[in-house]
Amino acid sequence: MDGLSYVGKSVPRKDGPAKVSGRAEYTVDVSLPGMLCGKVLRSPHPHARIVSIDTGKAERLRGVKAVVTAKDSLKIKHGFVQTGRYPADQYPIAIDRVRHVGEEIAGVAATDESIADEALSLIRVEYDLLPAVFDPEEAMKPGAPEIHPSHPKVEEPYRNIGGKTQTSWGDVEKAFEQSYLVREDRFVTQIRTHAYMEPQAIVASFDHSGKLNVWLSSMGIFLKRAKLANTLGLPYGNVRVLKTYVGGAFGGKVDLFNHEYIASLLSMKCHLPVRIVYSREEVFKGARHAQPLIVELKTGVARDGTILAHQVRTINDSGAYRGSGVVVIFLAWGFLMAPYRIPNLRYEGYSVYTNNLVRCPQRGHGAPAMRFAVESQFDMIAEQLNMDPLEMRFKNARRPGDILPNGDSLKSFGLVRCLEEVARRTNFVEKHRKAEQERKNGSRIKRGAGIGTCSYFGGSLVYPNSSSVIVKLNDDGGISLVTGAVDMGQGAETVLSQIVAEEMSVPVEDIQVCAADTETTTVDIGSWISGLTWVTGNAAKKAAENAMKKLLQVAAEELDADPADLEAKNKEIFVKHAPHRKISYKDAIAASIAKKRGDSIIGEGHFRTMKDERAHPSLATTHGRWSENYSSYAQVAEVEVDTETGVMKVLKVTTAHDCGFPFNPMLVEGQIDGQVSMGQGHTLSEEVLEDRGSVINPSFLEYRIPCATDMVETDYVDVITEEYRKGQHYDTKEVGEGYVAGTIAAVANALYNAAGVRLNRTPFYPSRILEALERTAPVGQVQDHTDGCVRE
Amino acid sequence: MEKRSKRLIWLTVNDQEYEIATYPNRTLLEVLREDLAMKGTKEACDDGVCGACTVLLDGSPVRSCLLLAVEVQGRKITTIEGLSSGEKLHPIQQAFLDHGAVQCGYCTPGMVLTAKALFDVKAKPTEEEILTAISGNFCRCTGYNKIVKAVRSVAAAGQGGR
Amino acid sequence: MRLPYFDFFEPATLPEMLTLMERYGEKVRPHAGGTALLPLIRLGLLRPSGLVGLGKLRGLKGIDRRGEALHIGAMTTLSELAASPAVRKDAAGLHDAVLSVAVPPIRTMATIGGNIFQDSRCLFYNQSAAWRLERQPCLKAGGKMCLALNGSRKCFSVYQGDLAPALIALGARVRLEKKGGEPREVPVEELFTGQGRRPVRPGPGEVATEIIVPIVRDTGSSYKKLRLRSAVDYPLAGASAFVAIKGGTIEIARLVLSAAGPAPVAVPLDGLVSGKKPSAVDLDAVGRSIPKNLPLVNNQIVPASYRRKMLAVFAKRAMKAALERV
Repeated sequence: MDGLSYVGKSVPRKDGPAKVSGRAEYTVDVSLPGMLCGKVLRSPHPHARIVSIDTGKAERLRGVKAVVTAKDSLKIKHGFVQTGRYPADQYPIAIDRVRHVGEEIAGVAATDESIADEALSLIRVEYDLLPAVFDPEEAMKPGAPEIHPSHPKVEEPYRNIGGKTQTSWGDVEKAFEQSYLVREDRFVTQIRTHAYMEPQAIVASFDHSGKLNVWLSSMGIFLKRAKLANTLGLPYGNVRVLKTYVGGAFGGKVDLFNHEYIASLLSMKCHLPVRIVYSREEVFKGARHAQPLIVELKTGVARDGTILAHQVRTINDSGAYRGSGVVVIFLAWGFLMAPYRIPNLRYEGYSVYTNNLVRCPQRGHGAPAMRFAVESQFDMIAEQLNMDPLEMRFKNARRPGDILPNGDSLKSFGLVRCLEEVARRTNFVEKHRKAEQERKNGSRIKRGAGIGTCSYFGGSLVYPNSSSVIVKLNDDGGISLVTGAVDMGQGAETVLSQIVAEEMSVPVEDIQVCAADTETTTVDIGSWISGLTWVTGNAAKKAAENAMKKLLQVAAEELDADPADLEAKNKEIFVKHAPHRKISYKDAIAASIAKKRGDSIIGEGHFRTMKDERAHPSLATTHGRWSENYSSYAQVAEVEVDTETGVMKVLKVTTAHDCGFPFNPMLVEGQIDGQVSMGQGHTLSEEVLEDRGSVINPSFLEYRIPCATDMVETDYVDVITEEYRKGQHYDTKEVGEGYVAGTIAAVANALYNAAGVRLNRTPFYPSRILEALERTAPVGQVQDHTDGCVRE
Repeated sequence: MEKRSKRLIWLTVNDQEYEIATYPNRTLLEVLREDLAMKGTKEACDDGVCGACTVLLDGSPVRSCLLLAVEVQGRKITTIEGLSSGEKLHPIQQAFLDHGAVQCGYCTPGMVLTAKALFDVKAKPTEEEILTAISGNFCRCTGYNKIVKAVRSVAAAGQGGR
Repeated sequence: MRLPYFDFFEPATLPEMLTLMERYGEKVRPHAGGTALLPLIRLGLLRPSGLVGLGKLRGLKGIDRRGEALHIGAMTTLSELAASPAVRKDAAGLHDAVLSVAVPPIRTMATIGGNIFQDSRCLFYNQSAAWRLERQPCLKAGGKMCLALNGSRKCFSVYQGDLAPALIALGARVRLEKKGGEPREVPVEELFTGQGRRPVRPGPGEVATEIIVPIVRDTGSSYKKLRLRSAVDYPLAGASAFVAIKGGTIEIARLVLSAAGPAPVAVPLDGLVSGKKPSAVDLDAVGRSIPKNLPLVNNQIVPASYRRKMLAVFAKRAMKAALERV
């Protein structure tokens, strides 16, 4: 990447100064005159018919300005997925049935919080309790309580199936017959949660002109606008989502949530601003947590460790509505088939309704569960074959240029180089061997190393499917970058500024970002499936190129030169072979306005991936192309286990990553660090505990995210497989999600390397590690440790 | 104890005195954010665990969500708004920017104040002292690595962040 | 989450404070650092009409060496204790325990008195009013039976204070004062009822004003604690040990378990330690000597069976560390 001034540099964050001085405005900081405190009434029951709701007393309480229930609603459903096969399935406020503890039944808006709380307690709801089911495998059985009818396209006689993903290629049975070794294992991941520091929050303000202004904590404002408008029966232009900074999301703030609808409905009823902010308890008990996944993995390999076949079944507990469950079972397939070559595959995944909280995506969305399973089993197989785990991965890793079974091309896939680099950087082979030898030497503290890989896709088609960016030149030569992108910490505003700065030869400081307002900024694909840098970035590039072209055209006329002979640098344009002939941007813009039709200089750019595809692949069959870019990484975790207590520490994680090329190396490293920490929490201590559908550890004291003294040492190796060149489209890859999965897999394998303990269920509580140390389980057995902490 | 009544209290925040009428059950966090419109101090949990509400009380980091406004009269309160003087950032704030220690920014005010308090006590803290000092400030974005790098760089400069 | 309304009193003298406590009885709670009190009020587990602040009272702070004891004012903060060279030197177990509590900002606010008198905890007790709407309140919260061990009429909440076990191991006493009565000193272990529902309290109308830690020559003490994270958390298991040496032989030995039930548990050492030379102590036997019938159930993040094992492990570790420090 020679000759680049801004792209590829660790340019400081645009929003940094505001954030370090406490001036950045988040939704929780928004305050409007007359703003009311809104609260949501939630079902205390996991499954019940609502016989009646009486809000009379609440409405008459002094200080209460509005109360809403289903009778104020248009009763239009919404859903994370809204397609022909999977239509919207959830009402934004319950009508006559609740299907999970915490389901939203009513909303109140009052002049202060204590009155709002009192109003909630005055709402009389009569319930008729229904039988409930909480375990997905129980929920599938005939005779289980029916939460929703099973999907009509699913033929098996299972109950409560929200959706199914099924695909296969080759001949799995034949491949197993030909395999030297076949093993079958079952892996279970817990319910983890995002633990974003800023809670769910919204301020909704409906004015007398019929316009709903909304500030909310989200990852993509256009999706929120669309779903709010649809459920409220408003035209899109009448719903304005305004910009706020977002205090973390990690996948937990994508979709429309019922409290957002309720705040808006309350405001529409009383024509006053209504603010709903969750307490931390409410975040744990009422917001959506990650999709748990059971992975049953049967694998056949040849004598030399080559995979011959996978047969996989995944079961997802999606909670009481479909949510993103039908997506996670599809994505889990993707995360299975992308990193390694699989000649024969049979995959089926079921998303199952239970009377638990509805789930949603969380960083990785299926990758943590699947990579944990595949990478753990890889190491188990490698041991049985007496093979080096690294060697086995080299044998099976996909290469650049491989075409995936769904038709996607891997192009510049750098997994092999990542494996080489991470092994070299950590001296993995020697460490791994040494730990194996020292396992039985009687020492109390054991150390070990483990490896994990992942591949992630970026920029796939999800509403609104594309991004547009506008670049406006101010007449002094400075730039306004107009984008709908939300900066939730990942640095969107900074990276987009870097791109425009590069293309237009303007210092980053001279670029003002106007972002994240559905009314005043351009449509944006949103910060999920890691599409922002690539999709919105390319749109920004095109907008900058478009503006530059116009500017160069005017300059060429003024300088009496050919646009091809001109060069721009630092807000000046000069003739390449005669640099004394130059013109400032300011003068060029003035000339444009004077001599053309008053044309100011505005550039527009649009970008969408998968231009030949109408929509994203079929979630049910996996057919259809998904993404043009696949990232890859290999991670090595080094751990320490105290064999007397079972307590494990994650000491260091080294990541070799093919993220294309790093637009901003400091931001990339920050993403890796954060994901290593999240992976650490997932493996050691994080779990949302549900008891009959109710979360029983709704606090940071009992949901244990790592603190600073738990910090993991991190190291990184760039494996650069793409390039940024001015004037050309660029491909870059994701960096925001996949490292969690690789970390988890690496830690699982490191635990085995250190202590000979193989656990198929996360988190690896010290009690589980100790129990495994105290007995040796024979290789090849299906293991499932079911010592949940709240059963005697 | 029958009638609810407000108290008139004087709070010294960022070297300025404010006269506030408030009920005794209101926390310092609520008063800062709602009565004094100082929104830099954040609320992120219910039980004093996360540290987003950190302010300095007579120079020491405390949980403003666990302090009643009425009990801190006469004490010196420092919030994030008191750290930079006008446009000029405090060296600790600058270090956070230079080292990528800020992502979503929600924990940042608390982290920065805690670091400042550390340097007010010791100009060159050890690695362990840095980690222990910020162990009460949760961050979900950064994994703490670049925050520690930023604080370490201020320690290396040896001027206690001044 | 907001606090419900309460009144706030700030007595300037101890007699004034005791008068208030007597006048209002159960309607008020003493307010020290607030770090345990305010979260309980937010959860609706305590509903005082008023708080009686101890912050303005004189004479309740400070760490003084007087004769053969350290006198620690009940309102001394944990940070002040952590910074005290006298505590570090002569009451190492207490020093360990203080540094293990929570995180520094909590230690700045929390007091030794407040920490000793903290209520016991349980996953099923420390929950909000909204949570309790989904089920019956647990036994400790005023309900009919324990939710952790379904159907039980006994409370299995766990006393998770770190300081009390260390203080008991050190042989510390607490000075209690009441209105119009004589102050009395009781050994810290006598503050505990052994019942989960009301595990620790002073007598009616009494307030703790001072903690007295005897200073003995040639001693070693320690506190070791198990938790999943390296800071923040309450103990899942732990132990504090104390030994005093005379003429090369252990004269006094105490071992107290932490997070082993509704009260710290003194371990009967039965000649395993006293009378022996430090190098001759059989640590494994010490570990095996912890009581077998500890009232532990699955009401924490790790199972009771694991916590039982860890109590033995940490008993050994605490004793080993205490012996090494002599």
